[in-house]
Amino acid sequence: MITRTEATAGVAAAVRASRATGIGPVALASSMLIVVAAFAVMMGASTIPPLTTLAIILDRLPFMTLAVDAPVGWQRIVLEVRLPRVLTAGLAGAALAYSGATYQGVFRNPLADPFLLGVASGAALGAAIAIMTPLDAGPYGFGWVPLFAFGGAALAVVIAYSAAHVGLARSNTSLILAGVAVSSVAGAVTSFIMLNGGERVLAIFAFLFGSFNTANWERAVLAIPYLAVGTAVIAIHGRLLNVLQLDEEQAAQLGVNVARTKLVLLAAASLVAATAVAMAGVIGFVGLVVPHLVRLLFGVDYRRVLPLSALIGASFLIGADVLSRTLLRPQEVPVGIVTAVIGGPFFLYVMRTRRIGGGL
Amino acid sequence: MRIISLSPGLTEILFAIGAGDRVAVVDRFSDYPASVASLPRMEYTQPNPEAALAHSPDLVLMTTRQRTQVKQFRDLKMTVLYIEEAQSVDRVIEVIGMLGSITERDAEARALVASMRQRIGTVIARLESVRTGPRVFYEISPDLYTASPETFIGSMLTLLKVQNIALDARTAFPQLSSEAIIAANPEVILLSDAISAKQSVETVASRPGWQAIAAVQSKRIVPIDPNVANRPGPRIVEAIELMARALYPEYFLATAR
Repeated sequence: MITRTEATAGVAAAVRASRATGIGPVALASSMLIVVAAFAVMMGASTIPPLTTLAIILDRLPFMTLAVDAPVGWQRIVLEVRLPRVLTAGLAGAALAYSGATYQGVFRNPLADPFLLGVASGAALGAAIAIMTPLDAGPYGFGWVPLFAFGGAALAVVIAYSAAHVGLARSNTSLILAGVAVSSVAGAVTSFIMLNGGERVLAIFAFLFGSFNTANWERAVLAIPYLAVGTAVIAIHGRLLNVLQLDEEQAAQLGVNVARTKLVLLAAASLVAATAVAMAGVIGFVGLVVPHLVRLLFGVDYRRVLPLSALIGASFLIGADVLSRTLLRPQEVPVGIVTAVIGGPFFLYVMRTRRIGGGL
Repeated sequence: MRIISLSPGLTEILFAIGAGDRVAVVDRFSDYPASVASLPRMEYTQPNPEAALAHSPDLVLMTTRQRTQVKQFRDLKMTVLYIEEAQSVDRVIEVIGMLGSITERDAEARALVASMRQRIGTVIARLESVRTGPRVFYEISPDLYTASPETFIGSMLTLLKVQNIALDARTAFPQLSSEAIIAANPEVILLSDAISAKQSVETVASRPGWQAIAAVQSKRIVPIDPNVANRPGPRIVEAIELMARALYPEYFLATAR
């Protein structure tokens, strides 16, 4: 039996260890994000000189008037296609990694990702239904597909969470199993819809791989309030996530209402993940691997893991999207494929060079 | 003779050569001519062999999507003719001749082929002086999938001398970057998703950045019925004529009056 003081001392030691590196990591990750985002705005299917791109953007800032000598097409490409695309990719990457870190923290399970309780399969089913109904008017602006995807994701999580009630408690295992069950039912119905979908199957397929090809300002701006609320709730609970890393009994001894904390954290993380999926479709890997990467590199204090996951997740997905639109240009490669193909080997490399197997 | 046709294109051919009375069962996507509506249906993807047997067919026509099931159907002692989905206008014409001799409608098939050749010939003759046609984006879905020149649709566009902006694509049906389409600046956009995804001049014009595209500015955005254009059957002639008129209005003014 570990006493309360020993437990607190353990947490404190872990926190001290990762504090030793100072504020550095956050500053580092932020500067990396700025560099990656700037690079991403310069790159694209068409070749616009980087300085022209810069001039087009600077020209739009208040109090700046540059005589930009560029075709109208270039201006529109930079301002209406690339900027919202980079912003959307960054928001989605940050959201997925942030909610992934939360899920892993709550479940204390290295295989947890933001789709564990059915967010992805619920969203995919919602999207498939919206695509098959006469409501769908394509993936631009405010559309029914993101709305239905969001609703499907929320519904899946609520069903999984309610179904996981075994006796009085919801154990992590019963939550995970309920999530798996809900996911497979939703996945099966989606497959059935696709088999009978005729020519609209392509649109459902596209959702299942994720894409930023139709990103636009309206949808990015619309997503921000949801992301802000969800991340704020999680950020407030950052300290409690550290405590949850102990045995649940010990956490309870430390005065934490474990059941309530888990519910709040999972609801907020699911909100964030559902918003990301509604914006961009199902993009795997980011939410699973980025939090691991952060812990491997910067330690386990959730008050640091959370912001670092968001920053690195944003950089990672913006970078993956650059590849997705330039590898085969003028053709697109679905971004979900890029994240897995590039991210998998990279993660294995980091894991080997760091020589850390356990402790996740 | 009782035929099961598992391809919408082959169904159309059979009816067009007067062999419609021999068609007993069609796949779920066969919807033309209207008289097929009363026929029993089978699945297009993964048709059930037992259901096929129950219709005691003399001939089952299968196409690319059912390729892996040909042996299964033959093992059940059904006569299967496997016809790969046509990838060019010439191949469609060949298939019409072949189905004509199988159903003993040779004369009708020959007449259909002659009329198709003649109508296509008229279009091509009219475009003889065209050296390079307009730049064209052929839209299959609103997330910007299109058809490369290697596809059936692409071959019709090549026939019409247009510059397909998907020329450099590496797959048959590539998804183009929105940015790449704006940069390629197509002069005409053909919308084959006008019905299926409700795309129109207005929805295309409202996409971010697309105001810079010549076709959007001049409103040369033309809906195409995918069941006519994408289906290798007799109606490809209609698609060719419709696209020709949309792409080269100045060459077809005389007939429009």
